[in-house]
Amino acid sequence: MKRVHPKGEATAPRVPALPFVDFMVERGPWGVSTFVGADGHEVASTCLNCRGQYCRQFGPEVGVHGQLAVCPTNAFALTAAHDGVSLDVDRCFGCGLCVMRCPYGSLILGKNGYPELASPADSRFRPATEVELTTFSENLQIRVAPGAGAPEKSLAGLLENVAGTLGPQFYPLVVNLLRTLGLAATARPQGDVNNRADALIYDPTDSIPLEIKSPGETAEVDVKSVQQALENKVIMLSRRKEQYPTRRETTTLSVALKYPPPRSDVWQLIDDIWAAYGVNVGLLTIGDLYKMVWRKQVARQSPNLSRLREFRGAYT
Amino acid sequence: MKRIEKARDGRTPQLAWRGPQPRRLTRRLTRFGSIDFDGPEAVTATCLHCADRPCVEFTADEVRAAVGIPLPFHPRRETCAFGALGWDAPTQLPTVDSEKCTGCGVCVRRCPVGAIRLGKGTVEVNTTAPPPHWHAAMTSEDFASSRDSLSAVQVFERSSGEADRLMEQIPTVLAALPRSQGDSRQVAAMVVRNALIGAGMPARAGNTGDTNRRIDVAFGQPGDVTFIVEVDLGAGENLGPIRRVLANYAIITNRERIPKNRLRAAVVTGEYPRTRTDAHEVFADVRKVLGLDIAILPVAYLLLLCAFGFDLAETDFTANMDDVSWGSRHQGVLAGVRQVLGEATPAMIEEHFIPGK
Repeated sequence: MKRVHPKGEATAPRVPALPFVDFMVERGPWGVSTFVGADGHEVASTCLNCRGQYCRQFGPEVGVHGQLAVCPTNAFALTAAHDGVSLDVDRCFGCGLCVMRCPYGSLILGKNGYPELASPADSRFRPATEVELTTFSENLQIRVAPGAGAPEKSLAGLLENVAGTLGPQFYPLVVNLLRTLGLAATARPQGDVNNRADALIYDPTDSIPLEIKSPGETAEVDVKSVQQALENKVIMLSRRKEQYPTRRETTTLSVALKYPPPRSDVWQLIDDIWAAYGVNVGLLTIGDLYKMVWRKQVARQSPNLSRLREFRGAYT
Repeated sequence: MKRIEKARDGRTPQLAWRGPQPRRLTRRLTRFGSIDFDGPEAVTATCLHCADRPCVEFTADEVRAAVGIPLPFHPRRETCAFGALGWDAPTQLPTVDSEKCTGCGVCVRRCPVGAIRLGKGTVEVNTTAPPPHWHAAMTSEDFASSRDSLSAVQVFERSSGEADRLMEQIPTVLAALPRSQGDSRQVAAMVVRNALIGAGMPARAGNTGDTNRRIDVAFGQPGDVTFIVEVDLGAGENLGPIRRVLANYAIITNRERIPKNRLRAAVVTGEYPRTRTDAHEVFADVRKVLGLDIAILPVAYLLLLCAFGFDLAETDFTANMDDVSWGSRHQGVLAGVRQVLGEATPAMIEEHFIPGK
């Protein structure tokens, strides 16, 4: 069942009149950003009518085929007039990806946990022409507010939303978070028996297979998922080397909600696998992945992805 | 009769068998043993009420034999993984619960005189009274010594018809696993361990409670290569045992510093993985990428070796494992089995040792 959450009346797209040239990021995914005009007055950010190219759909930059929707459950869309969010509330589980993807901070997670437009209408807005729109978004100066780089508190809410999800929601979420980091990630096509990994990251030299444990299945990376990560690497090296070039020491990832406890046998098993086979099994939690995405999208820091290619054990 | 009185008087029993000397013991899988004595007699083997009850339980030394790697052993001593074989104290006879018995043949092998045979779907114990000169009141030491002198000359006769009978039992063995009491994976490991010990190979089953050594079975002669085994008596399409054996191989080589040339990995399956399944491919991937040749042993092979009286301690079982291991040369599996079994090679062998499509 589809319910529409419009904010304000459904009118033609309203955007700030020029010259709002400065963009103050003070947001969590659920805080409101502010456009600051050259004359000093401020308005809450709103949809700039980029036609959902960031919040709704990945562009060709992800470099892979497959499902390109940003929303892991295909629940999110903008209304036709771009003045509100059209959301399938039965499917949305509040991962916050659409919110973090919006480069202008115009989406927030509302009090009910659903994404909505931060500020759909403002009396000082008038409909912008295409030219104005382009000029505006190109001229935005992004400033990051102090405190935007400390995501732990804000991310805790997102992780709670994710904690009960199963594979069909969780796998695309992981893939789309990785894509947001700029990695060419893709989920395993249904029925692809040649490929045991749950997802893959393409790289010209260091492709990475992913073993994903959905939180509804098991919270922590366990011995079994480490074993599967090893198998994924073996299969990628053996069968998929032309499509997914990789090296033996390139990380094979296992993604889950939590790291195993310090005394778990998983840690030693990872060292054993390195000693016996020269394969690096790396563990990454969804929380760490969110932090990386946050830093890139909100704090505007370029992610350091080189570590992802060759690490062993816990990512942090 | 003098000897019996001696024993009843509580005096030192005679340790040596004084009756006619056994000359030859012939055993077959589906017939009770036949004992030829010096002279004209030949008798059908019957239960000798052995004091150590080898058909029912292994000795403590057998279940904790050294296998070349430090692995805690599973203390369970019953030879029957399915709990079908019991011991009736008043009569000193083994009892068979035909409901639980799968006819796997381990106890058939364990009976030193051939008083247990493979019937249809279950095993049968010959409990008829021994001939008069095998007096029922002999001391247990007498039984032991007579048995040992019999064992020294025992001859196993093997035929393909009997092998087929055992092959027919394999689906029953596999089907019985999920119904077994307790963890079916543990029972499957017991089937494999018991068949190996039965065939004279030092073997240990891992202990279920041990979280750091989740090895199902390990076997190997002292000083020889040790095999670490994962057991999955399914259709061989499950990837779990391949993953586990890879992890265990890494654990044992790294933590115990066992050189790689002293350790081999094996998976015991119910059937050979079919050629179009993923498991079939993964074995090849592992060999190609990690250089690790995981042997695939169908449980039927181990049960055949056990029931047919092969003594693996005296054969080059592990060295010839390549013949029964996986690979593009899976035709070699069949050749290896034929080499070992000779004329007794079962007619049904293709179903069990050649991957189907």
